[in-house]
Amino acid sequence: MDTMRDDQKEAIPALGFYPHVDISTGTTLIAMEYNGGVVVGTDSRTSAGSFITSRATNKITPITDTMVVCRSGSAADTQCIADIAKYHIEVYTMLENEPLTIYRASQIFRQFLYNYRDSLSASVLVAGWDAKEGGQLYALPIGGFVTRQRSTASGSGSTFVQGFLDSQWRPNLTLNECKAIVKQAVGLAVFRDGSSGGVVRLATIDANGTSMELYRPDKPGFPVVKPPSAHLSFPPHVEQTPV
Amino acid sequence: MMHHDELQRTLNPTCTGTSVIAMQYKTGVVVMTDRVVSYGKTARYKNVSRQYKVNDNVLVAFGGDHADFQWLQNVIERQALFWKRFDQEIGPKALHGYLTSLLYARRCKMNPLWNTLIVAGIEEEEKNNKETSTPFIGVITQKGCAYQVKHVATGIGAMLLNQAVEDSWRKKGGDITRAEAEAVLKKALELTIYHDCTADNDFEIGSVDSEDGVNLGKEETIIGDWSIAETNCQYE
Repeated sequence: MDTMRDDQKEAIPALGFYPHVDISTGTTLIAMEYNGGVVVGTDSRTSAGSFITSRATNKITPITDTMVVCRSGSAADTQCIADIAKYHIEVYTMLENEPLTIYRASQIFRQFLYNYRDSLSASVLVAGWDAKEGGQLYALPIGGFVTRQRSTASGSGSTFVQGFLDSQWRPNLTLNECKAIVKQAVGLAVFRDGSSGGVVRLATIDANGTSMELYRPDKPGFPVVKPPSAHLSFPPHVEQTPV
Repeated sequence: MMHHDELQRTLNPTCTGTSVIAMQYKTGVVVMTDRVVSYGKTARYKNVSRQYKVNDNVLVAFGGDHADFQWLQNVIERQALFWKRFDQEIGPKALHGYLTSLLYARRCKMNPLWNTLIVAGIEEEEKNNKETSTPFIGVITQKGCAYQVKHVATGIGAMLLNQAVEDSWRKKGGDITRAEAEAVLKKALELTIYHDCTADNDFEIGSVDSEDGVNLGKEETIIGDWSIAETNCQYE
């Protein structure tokens, strides 16, 4: 149980020694409330060091028909937490004979993320719809803090788009406006973050349930970012491709 | 001995380039690199070339630290000019030998140049006699280990791509045409997009040909096939 390693372990190929690199969902998770529900968007890359272990991951995990959790951090930790929390939520739902509120579900996640905070590396977004409060979004970063937010980003790619999200949010967004913002934010983060990439998965959670969408880079609809045009790479006296 | 320890010591690469893939074909060499500078895992600067034309017979491509390679560019220019004093264009083998000594010497001083270099070109046995020119690919690792190959992939590409490139090479042997070699490289690049965090979709393919000389690549993009994403269900 050594997730807090200070020493940099070097690979020694001659001995066949390769240091264990945690498999993490270095990630981009974007979520935003709109008038009627929540839209979440993620990338699909799981990496171990510089190697992409899975390029078409699904980081949006359904918990109930009207609630999903978006996972970032250690892949193993978040998969486990999602399973355990889902079990607890199902038990309470059966005992009380009515669906759990999203608030209580986020508190169940918090219970695990907080009590095991020194052993886990997990950061989740709980998003869903219930009859009591409508669309809700709760961010649970590492450590187990819970906060309800209207718009948030999580994962390594989030740092690249915080400013963009801040500038785009306004009250009473429609569904299509919200989807466009979330999709563009994921596209921008994927453009810069090496730990994020692959396809863009969008999920809309409202009173009717969850609907998932997939945007592939090789199909139209993918949020393409056009970089600025190039300058010369080398000094002008060196022969090179002109721009 | 007086050491200015604070002056020079590349302990950690900062702005890095990832894989280089190169392959010989019948009358020359093709080299492929992407066009991004990574700062850790961030794609920090785009539209940056990692292939440097030395003269009409030699192309140098690199992976690893960009700052170290910019320093090397000056060194290579100086060496090329040194040869020009004797009315000679430096050849790929000569440059490869020089850079090997340089990188090894730096490694011995515990101040390495954090680069993997690919020197690609046409080695002319007799000057201006095309019959005797042969394609050349020389690799130099950051520790100064140097060797000559017919095809190579560096960086994380070494683990991902060498098999794919080797398979295509074995099918065709030395008779591969330039278009076929480029197709192999593009297929190899697709693999890096799928499995290398620091790889980018924009790339360039440069070539050195015994007839055409050096052709620097223009910027192209590859997207890949993402139909795998449709069938993925719950977790990974």
